[in-house]
Amino acid sequence: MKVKTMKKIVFFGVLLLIPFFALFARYLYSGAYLQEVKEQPADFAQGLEGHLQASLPFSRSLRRLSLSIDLAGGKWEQDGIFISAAGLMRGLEPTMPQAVDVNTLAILEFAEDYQNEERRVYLAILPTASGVRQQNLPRFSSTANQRNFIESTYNRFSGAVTTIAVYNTLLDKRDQYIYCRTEDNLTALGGYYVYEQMLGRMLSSERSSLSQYDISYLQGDYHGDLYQAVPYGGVQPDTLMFYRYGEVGREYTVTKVGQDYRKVYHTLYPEFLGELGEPMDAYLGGMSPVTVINTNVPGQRRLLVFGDRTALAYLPFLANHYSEIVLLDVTDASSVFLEAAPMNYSQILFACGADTYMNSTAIATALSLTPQVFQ
Amino acid sequence: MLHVLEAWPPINLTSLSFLFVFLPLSVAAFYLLPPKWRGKGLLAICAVFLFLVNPVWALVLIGLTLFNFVCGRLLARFDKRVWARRGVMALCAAVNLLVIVIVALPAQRGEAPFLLGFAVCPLLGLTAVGEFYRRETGPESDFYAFALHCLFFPRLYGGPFGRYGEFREKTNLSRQPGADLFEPLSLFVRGAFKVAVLGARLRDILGTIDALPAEQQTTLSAWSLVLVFGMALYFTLSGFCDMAAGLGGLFGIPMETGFFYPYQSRNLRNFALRFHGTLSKAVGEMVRGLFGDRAKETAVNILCTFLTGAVVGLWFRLDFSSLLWGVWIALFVVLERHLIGKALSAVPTALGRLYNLLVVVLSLPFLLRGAPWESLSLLRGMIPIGGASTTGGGGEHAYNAILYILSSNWLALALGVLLCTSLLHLGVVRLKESAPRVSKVVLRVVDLGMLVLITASLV
Repeated sequence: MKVKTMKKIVFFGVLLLIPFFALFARYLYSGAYLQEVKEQPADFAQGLEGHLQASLPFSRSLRRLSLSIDLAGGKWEQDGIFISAAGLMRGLEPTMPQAVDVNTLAILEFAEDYQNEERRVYLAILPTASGVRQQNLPRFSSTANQRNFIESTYNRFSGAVTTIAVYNTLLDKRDQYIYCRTEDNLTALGGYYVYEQMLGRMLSSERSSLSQYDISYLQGDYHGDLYQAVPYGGVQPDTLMFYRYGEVGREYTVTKVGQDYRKVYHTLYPEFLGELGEPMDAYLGGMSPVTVINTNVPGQRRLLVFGDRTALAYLPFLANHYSEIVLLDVTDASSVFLEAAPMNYSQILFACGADTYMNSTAIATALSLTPQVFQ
Repeated sequence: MLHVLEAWPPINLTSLSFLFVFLPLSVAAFYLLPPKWRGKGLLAICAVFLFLVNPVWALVLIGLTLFNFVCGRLLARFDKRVWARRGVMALCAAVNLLVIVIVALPAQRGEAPFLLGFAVCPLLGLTAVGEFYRRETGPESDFYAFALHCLFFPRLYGGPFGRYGEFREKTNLSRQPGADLFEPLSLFVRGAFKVAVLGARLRDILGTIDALPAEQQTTLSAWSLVLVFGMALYFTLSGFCDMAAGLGGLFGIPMETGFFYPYQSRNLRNFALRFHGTLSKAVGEMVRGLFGDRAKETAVNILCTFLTGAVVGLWFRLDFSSLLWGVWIALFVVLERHLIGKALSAVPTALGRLYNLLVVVLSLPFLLRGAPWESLSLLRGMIPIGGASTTGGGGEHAYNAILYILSSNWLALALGVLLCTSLLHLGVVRLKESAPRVSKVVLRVVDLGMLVLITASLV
């Protein structure tokens, strides 16, 4: 065969191999691609593009390459997430100007109606990582001044609701492992420091020390939601730790209630959920509209918490001081609130991240669903 | 926003589906066909592409091309009847311009998307018919060849334009594939890099600066906005033209790109030729054709220059502000031709380039903003003389905002500035002269690297 003919065959062979490689290398036997072919040509084009984005060989490496070039070019913020050697942090900017007013007025109204000598109302706004670790943010970047935001919001509750200041505590401990590096939440240690401040305001007679807890580990290579959004290889994975109260004989029952489910765990840390692929669910079984924690702590102190995902960090510590804690996830408010919340509480705590308070009316929405509980 | 900076449908020249499926299959299919079938084959490829993007619009473009072809045939038929020829030409111009207006106006108001080729296909058809009308090119009886000129999909994004006579003369669809395909492929990859990597990043930066709230706008942010806009426009448009010219070369249709480092031109006459030169050339010929031999008279020539500038401005966007941009450029072209040309040629090159850059940068607010008062407001933001600045004056916080945007994109901005100059180009030319073999290897490696970066930016 002539060299010229050979060259032609190679040329056409390469041309035909490129689409074959791009399309079918991974899905050759699965037939997944064929399912995406739609009748409409435009839909077909969209489906094809989506399929290629998802299945192109080396796509993960290419994404990392793209991210590395971005970082080399100074782009240390991707989709609102700041990248630093200390970890990934979601930036926080006010995006919903009326949210703070709506939440504040809802809590004030609630406190006016339901607070009395036997039932006190507390508020804790927990700063996010970008509010505390400002030294790790890129130069000239701007995020909300969370210290000022929390202080000015607390001032509006003066005399009406007991506020719990945690900003300075977390700021003092900012060099410790208090925020997850790949997840937008506090670590168990961060939760402990928040709990210390809560304890001081809510149960000032009681004391707790970190030495009372035994530490165990679920996994040391956890990559959370921020990492999924920005797969920056330079960030250290998170270590998921449990702080177990050392007192012998302490029993816990955690009941998770959602729209169409009810699950019961006899531990604060159902580790098997972590092993099933949802590591963060190992903390109190993860988030659900209503979480009820029953303990054999002596006495009948009951706490109602209007909270968000930050509760996973501090609630395991508070559980050792109450016979029952009911957590209502304000970010997932639903009619389940009406069924699950019991009638009598000793204390009511509003505790959520600065982002929840600043940029959503979740607390007000949750409160609009719950008054019947207190009738 | 200008249509050339808009987001395009899922399948486009810088999509994974095009790069890794459509392009290799098209090239393979094209060269596997016998030479006499390649013209029709390539037209079929164009039709498939257009149908994949938008089937209904594809039919409109094909219908419009058929209409233009019929106009061309009628011109040949009415060879001796002047008024009939004028009527056909006028009808052809009216229909094509109407198509542009009908698509552009709702799209500019944000009520509909920009449709692929709406500003290119009608203009290509119209200028081709104009050539038949002026008898510069002989009548065309082959619809497939005419349709290929008007519907060759890579040029539908933003050009380049070109004379139909040259297209007919230079097109060679019967050649065999060989090493000479590397050059057009390389041009395509460079164009794709400009659009998908650099242009995309610059468009992002442009959007971020533009979205700064009023209290964070400063003189620095106004200048940054205009300069980034200039770079984003240049890289996007010239990238599309490079890709079209590269793909044209791949299929045996040679084309000029119409761009050659316009921001470092020595004067505005030079700038007009180097900034989408094929567009201004096509429009200029069309406008001069209206005046016939009188176009050589000084007054008519000046009028033609202003009209050309205005039409080119309107091609970018159908509004008064863009028209002013074109007139502004035309004003300096006229001044250089008739008043300051000699003086300019005497000044040092660097000074000439500075003059060109200043005039162009001060014109860009008119192209950037849709309304003249908004353009003037931006200009006042750039030149805060006597407290006339419209900037918000948010103090350090405002400066931090723009400094953050600039510092977090320094690499893209630096690369943009570098590639706006011909420094790298000169380096490559030197390398080719001194070490041709090494330069070939280096350029192939660079092309491959760019292809990887393009893919990385698309996944």
